[in-house]
Amino acid sequence: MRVLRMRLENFRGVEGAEISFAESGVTLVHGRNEVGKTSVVDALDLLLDQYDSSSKRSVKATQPVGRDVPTVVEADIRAGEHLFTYRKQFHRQTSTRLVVHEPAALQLGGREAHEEVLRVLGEQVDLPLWRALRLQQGVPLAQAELDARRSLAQALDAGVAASVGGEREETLVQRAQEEFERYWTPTGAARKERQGLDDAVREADGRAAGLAARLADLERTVERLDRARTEARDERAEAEEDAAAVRSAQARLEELRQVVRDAEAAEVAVTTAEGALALADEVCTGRQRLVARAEELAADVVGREVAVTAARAEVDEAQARARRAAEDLAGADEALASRREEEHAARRAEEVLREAVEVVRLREVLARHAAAAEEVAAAEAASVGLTVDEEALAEVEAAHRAHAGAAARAAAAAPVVVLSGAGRVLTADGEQVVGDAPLELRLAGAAWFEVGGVRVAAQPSADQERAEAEETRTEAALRAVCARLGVEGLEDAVAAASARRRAGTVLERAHEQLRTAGAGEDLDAARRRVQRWDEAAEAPATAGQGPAPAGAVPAQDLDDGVVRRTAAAEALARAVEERVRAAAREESAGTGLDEARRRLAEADQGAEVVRVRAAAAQADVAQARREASDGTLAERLAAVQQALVEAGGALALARAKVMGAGVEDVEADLTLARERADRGRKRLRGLEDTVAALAAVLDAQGGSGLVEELAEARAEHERARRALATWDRRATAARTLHEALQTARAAAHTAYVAPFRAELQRLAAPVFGAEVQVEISPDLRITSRTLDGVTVPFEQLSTGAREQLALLGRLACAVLVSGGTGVPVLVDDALGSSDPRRVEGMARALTQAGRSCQVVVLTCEPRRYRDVAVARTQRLDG
Amino acid sequence: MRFLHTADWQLGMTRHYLQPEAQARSAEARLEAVRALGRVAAEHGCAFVVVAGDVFETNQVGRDVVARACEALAEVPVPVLLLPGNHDPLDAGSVLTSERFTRLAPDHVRVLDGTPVEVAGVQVLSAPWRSKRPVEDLAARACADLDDGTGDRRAGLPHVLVAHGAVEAFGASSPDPAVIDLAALERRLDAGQLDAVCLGDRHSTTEVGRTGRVWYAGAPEPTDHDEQDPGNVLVVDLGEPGRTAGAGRDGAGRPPLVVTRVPVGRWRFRRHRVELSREEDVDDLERLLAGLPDKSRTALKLSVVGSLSLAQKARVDTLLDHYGDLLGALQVWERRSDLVVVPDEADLDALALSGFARDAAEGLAVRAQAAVAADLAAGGTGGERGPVPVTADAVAAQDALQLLHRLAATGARSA
Repeated sequence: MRVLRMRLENFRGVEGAEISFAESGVTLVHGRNEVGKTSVVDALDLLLDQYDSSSKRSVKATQPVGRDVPTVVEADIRAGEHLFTYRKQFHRQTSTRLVVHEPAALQLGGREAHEEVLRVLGEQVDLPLWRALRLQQGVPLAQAELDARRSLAQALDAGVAASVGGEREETLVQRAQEEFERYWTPTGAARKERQGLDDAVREADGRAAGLAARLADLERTVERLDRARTEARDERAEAEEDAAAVRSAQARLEELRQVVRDAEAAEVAVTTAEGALALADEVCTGRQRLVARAEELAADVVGREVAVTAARAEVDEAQARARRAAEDLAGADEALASRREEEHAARRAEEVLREAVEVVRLREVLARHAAAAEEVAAAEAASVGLTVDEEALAEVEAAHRAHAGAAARAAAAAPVVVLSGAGRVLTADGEQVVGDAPLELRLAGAAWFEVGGVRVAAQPSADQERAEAEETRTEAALRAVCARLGVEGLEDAVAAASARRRAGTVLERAHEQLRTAGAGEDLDAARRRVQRWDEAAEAPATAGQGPAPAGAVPAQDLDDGVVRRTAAAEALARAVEERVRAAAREESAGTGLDEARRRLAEADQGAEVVRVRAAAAQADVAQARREASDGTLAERLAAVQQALVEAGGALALARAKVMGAGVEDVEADLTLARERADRGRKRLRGLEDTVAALAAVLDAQGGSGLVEELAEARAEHERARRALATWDRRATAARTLHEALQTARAAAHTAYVAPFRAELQRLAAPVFGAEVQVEISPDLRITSRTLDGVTVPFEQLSTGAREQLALLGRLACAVLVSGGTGVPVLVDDALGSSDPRRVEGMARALTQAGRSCQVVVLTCEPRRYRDVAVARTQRLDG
Repeated sequence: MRFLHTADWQLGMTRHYLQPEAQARSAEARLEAVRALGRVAAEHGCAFVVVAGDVFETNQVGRDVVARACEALAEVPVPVLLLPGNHDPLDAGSVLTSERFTRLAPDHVRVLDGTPVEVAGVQVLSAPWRSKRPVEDLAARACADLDDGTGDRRAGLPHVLVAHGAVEAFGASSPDPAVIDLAALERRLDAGQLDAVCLGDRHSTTEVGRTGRVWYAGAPEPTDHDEQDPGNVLVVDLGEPGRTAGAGRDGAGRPPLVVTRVPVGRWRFRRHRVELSREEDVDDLERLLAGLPDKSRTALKLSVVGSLSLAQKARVDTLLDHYGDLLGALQVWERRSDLVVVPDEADLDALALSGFARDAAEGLAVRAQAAVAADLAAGGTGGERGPVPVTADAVAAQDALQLLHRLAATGARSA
């Protein structure tokens, strides 16, 4: 395939440019930088790969900045026998036009034109490889082989992707890889998500199993409850039977017990008959006793009536005796009264005499007492005014002593003037004469004296004044005490005190006499007694009182009175004695009478009682005989004796029955039946408890919707299972696809490796020498170069060597694309890093490549390629 | 004299293939069926309703199910007689005797416990299940009293037996002692001891035997895909009371029993087998799915057989996804499905792959068909008749191709 001509309008910075290429060999396009040399590469891609209407960013970016104009790319292309002009206008009035010149003229437009071009080119070239080549052409040579993303293999993949996915960055392989990685880790293990799904399946399964188990449990509970209810029903029926058995045993036992009771009743009947016999016997005996007693009582009545008569006679005799005794007693009473009056009179007379003697004595005592009282009064009168007692006297004496002391000290203090000579001296006390004896003058106070017309005045000292003042004060105090006590002075006070002591003594003596006079007497009582006596004396004499002699009573009278009174008393005693004796006799007679009367009453009463008894006994007998005659009683006795015999027979029979009854056996049966019934009840209670417990469990579970829950859990399990299966299936699909693509890609790459290596080495020989060896990896990268037996990894080669190998790789690729006929290779400003020797080699390689394919070198330095056999040179100007 | 015969409500039933939201709709539909049959009873002048067993899905239904059931029962305007069936036996855990049901059930609802009941001039005998594993023919036992004359046989009243379970065909012997002896029942029907036998257990409305008097009412709301004629209730007309010989009357002097089936169910459980081998087959499938009426109440179970190209398979997948969203339930019956993806040239071209990617796709295509190819090489038909031979690797390769298809399509769409 050859591009013969290209025309660009408004392609990025290029307003308009047209380049013709040599159909074979190397075309050198030179121009300044930025005139758009690389745009030529991009324009060819745009024309071949993109629809005119494409809205891809890479397409839009071709429009010149800020200008809304259409971009046009046009090319004349020869491909095999086809020669055509292909034009696309982008952005505005978009259009595609294909004008085929050879082999037959044809014009197409739009998608049809696009598809036709791809078809024609596809017949001639390996489109993916060519796309890869063109993709690589956009990458600077030096880095090309170092950048894995831009390796030829990657470019090939991208070329494939472009055919199905357009310009997306991810390739189909990458999407398959992404899909793979959604399910698998890079090491090929399933992602965690699967574990989650697996867990969900197991969890749902576990939940369903748990619910199923609970449901089964519940169903078992229902069954158990049904069974327990049935058993309880059976047990109740059995309980009924047991109860019937108990009742039956009880009835039989009751019958047997009746037999025993019958025997007991027979025993009672015998006892009763025996009792009846005893009673009948007793009745007969009683009748006999009753008759005998009635007769006894009748005899008793006669005896008692005789006794009553005798008692009545005794009473009459006793009454006579009592009358006599009463008369004697009356006489004694009269005598006693007379004697008592006489004795009383004698005693009165004696008393009057004794009072007279006493009154005389009392008068004397009273007189003595009055005299003593008078003496006391006189002594008391004498004591009045005698106020100076011993204490007052002591006070006066003290005042006196004080004054005497003070006076002495005053005197001692006053100066003494001794006047001697003869002369007269005038003093305050008058004129004195000094004679033979010297005159001593005491100069007390402001005393003075005149001698010879000279007045000498003493001027007292302070001590003197104090002593004199003290003398004056004590003297005043003495006078005050004396004045208060009413005495003249000390001597007077001593006399007054003495008088007071004497008067006191007299008074004490008078008091003593007064006490003696009244001693042992009640003076008031004495006065009243004397007064009474006097008043009686004045009153008219009364009988028996006797005259009250006012004067002395002769003692003889008193003694006579005593004798008379004694005699009267003795007579009285005798009369009393006589009276006592008479009274005793009277009482004795009364007692005898009472006794006689009582005996009569008793006898009467006894007789009456016996009479009543006898009558009653007679009545009893009569009554008894009316009720049952003696003959009847005898018959009855015989009948009762017969009944006893019969009861004895019945008892013997009943005892025989009891012996044969076997009550113990029946009781044992009953006990067994009851025990069985008890056990049955216990079992029933147990069952009822079970029923209640299970019913409670069911109640608690009822309505819980367990089955729905289980169904939901199973549905959940099913969903989880399906989710897991779906995941697995998708994961498997992703892995299968991923692996298939990887495998196919590796195979495809491998298919290119050998031809690529051969072509590369052919082109490399002029550069590095005929011996050069190049290694290509499966992903079509140059891995090393071997020269003169030395192998250097590609990345360790010099920048120049790498650049040269990369360019050679592209040339090799271009040759391969169309099976030797080649496609255009666009070389953009390469070999900048190559030394001249290598440039020369590269020139040979380019020339060599130019024989198989179109080589277009874009450069701003045409001299670098001077060794290349250039077929055509084009200048490109902006 | 008419009454309504129904059975197998199975309230509280769940189905694992129903999504929670569809499950709720299904549960509501079952309750709605109860209300609907109440309306049917009123419209047809039925004197009462007998439910021949399995009122509830289990005795362990949730409290809410019981409450809603009682609420729906309250709307039935005539007496309702409920027979305990094998799903809700009258055992110790019976929901029908639970405190909750007893408290909430309306007064006109009565549980048949085996005691004969007289309702609206009809003597109703019942054969309730008392456990999940009865050891005798419960129907026979319910009729035992009719023989010796000691039973509560009320002369002159029509007698209806309500029972639940499978019947034993004539002459056949079953190892299950609980199977209902149809022959014995027919003898009683012939003898005039019974006038009708109302059965439950079979979810499809079915007449049994030769008398025209033994019927399974079927479930009023379908419960599964294998039911023939569900979704009905039966209006049973016993005819005029009294037994006289005359035209149209049978040996016992009765008019023939008139049974009318009235549909009340809203859900449809469908099963389809589709063969997918050509583009037209996929078109047919689409028409089938699009044509389903009342989709939200339709549970469809598909068995899919055949072999499809990648593109066709992708189309089928899209269809199933879409209708899975619309339908009450859409299951692909794995056990009965046999769909192989066989990538063809067009598939590979459509991928527009080149280079090694195309090589990879072609390699996968070979692996995908390896089993078929091997079968053919061995002289087989390669799935033309019978199941398509398949290996795990073939399935993986088919899936990988579908994935490639999807990835490529994603790229194409975004291009």
